[in-house]
Amino acid sequence: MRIKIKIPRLLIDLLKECKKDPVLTFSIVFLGVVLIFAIIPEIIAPYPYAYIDLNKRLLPPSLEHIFGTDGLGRDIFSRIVYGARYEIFIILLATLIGMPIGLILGFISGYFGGSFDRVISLITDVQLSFPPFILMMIIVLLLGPSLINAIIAVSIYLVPIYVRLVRGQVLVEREKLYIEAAIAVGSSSWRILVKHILPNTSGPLVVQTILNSSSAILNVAALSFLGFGAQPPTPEWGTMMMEGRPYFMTAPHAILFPGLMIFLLVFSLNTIGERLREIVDPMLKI
Amino acid sequence: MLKYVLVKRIPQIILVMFLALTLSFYLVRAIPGDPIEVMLGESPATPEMREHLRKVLGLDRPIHEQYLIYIQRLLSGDWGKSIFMGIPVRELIFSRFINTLLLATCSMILSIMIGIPLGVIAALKRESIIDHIIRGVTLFGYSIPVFWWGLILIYVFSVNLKLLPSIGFGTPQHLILPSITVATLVSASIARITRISMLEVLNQDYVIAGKAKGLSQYILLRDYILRNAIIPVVTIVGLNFGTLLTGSVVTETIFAYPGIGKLMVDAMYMRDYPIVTSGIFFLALMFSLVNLLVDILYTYLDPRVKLERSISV
Repeated sequence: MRIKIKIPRLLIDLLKECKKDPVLTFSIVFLGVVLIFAIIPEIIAPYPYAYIDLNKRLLPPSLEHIFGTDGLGRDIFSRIVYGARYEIFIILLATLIGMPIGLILGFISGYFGGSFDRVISLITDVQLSFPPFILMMIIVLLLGPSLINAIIAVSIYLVPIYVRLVRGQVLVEREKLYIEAAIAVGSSSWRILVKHILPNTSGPLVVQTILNSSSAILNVAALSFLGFGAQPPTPEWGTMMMEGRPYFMTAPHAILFPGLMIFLLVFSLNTIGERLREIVDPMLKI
Repeated sequence: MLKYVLVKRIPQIILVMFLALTLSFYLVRAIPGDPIEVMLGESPATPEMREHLRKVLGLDRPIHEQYLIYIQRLLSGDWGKSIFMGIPVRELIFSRFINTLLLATCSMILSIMIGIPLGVIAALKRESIIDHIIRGVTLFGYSIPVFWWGLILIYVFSVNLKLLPSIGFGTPQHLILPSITVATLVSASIARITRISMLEVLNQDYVIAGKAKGLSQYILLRDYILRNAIIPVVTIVGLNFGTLLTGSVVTETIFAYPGIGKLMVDAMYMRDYPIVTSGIFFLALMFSLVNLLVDILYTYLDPRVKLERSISV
């Protein structure tokens, strides 16, 4: 039996969990910090992110530069603060592209079944048979290496995950009486999707969106690190790691801190996603 | 079940393979730039020379004709020749694939040795401090960016402690760091699924009955719990192994490990079409076959599962 779950309710439940779960509290706070970085970097960053000072190349962390400086003498902490914007942008854009496509395809596939279902399942099967990272690289090379194109590539990779989730949910909901009643009173398919099925699948969908966001961050960062994503001098965290790689033996801090930020952001998103999943599906916690 | 596999799954795999092959053929050739440009670069080659090279490589023909020729050759066992290395692609792919297989096997053994005990302990001590720590470690494991983790391991173990070689291939020591890098991620997902699966079994009536009848903790664990809890774990191990076989592109790049993932990435930079297209075909085939094997194994381990049903929903 599925209970109707509303998103605000979900967030309140999540905040209640914080009381007994320090890891979750840390995750929410860290996500908040990244958001603040993204909103007001000008106030928080001690230096402009593109300020080059060749006399201060590769300085280790100190009071003046808490995360040290990079190969061009730029302050790494300031670049990380400005870079938060790009990470939030990655989360938003990847969700905005991947989720609607996955939602619509999954709905058509599950609700109408038949040949729609077969064609969509075949497409997802073909896509999933491609080695994921190779697929993303091909898409980026086709479109040209840039942050936006890396995000598009990752979003395309994420679509089948949404399709399978929504299709499964729709298959379960479709059999229920209230859908039959809705059809009987003459509701359109669109209305049934928006008014009935969507609210009832919102819980698992929110969870999957958060987990997919963390996957988007990781994959875009990996693409950037290999030179397929955001291009220098963009302070995207993966790109910063790519720029730091040549000096890695002597100045590991140029890679350590941007990577640590990616790690903590992904960790926070995963923790929040997992805890929400337990709230949505209590069977998992037992 | 054999009938189901032969009649439904095998034809489906063939269809998916054919579509994946076609798609990769056209997509890879649609990428801006071609091997001739990469080869000659800014050199003062005359247009005639470029034309000649194109003809020799068969790139001057219409793309659909190239496609038909490629398919024809592939069916007769000729996977094409690498444009830059001149070696038959099949040989190249097989020799690199062996290296990837080696890395995948080492990582998987390591992941199982770490992941399953962690999952079992967490489930037996559920909601205790140990459970919380293990779940925290698990989340750490699958949140770590592999490229960052690999570099940190290199810095600590090769640069600082000088214990292990950082990059390359050849001795067993070269396998240690890449295996740890990959296993960090995989063991986390194994530990997680083991824990969930154990918890589910622990709540079953037959376990409670076993307890009531006074069976020792050890017998209960060995014969009642583990035997049933291990089934979903086998699936996850299988699926992860299938993914590892397609090459951990990032790990192989960082450690300059000559596996199939690195081969594909290098070939993509050079626009070495035969390697990329045949490589994708080979990897997609591997992936589909491993998935099929996992499904078959699953019904074998758990006779309650009907293959037809488990897949259609």
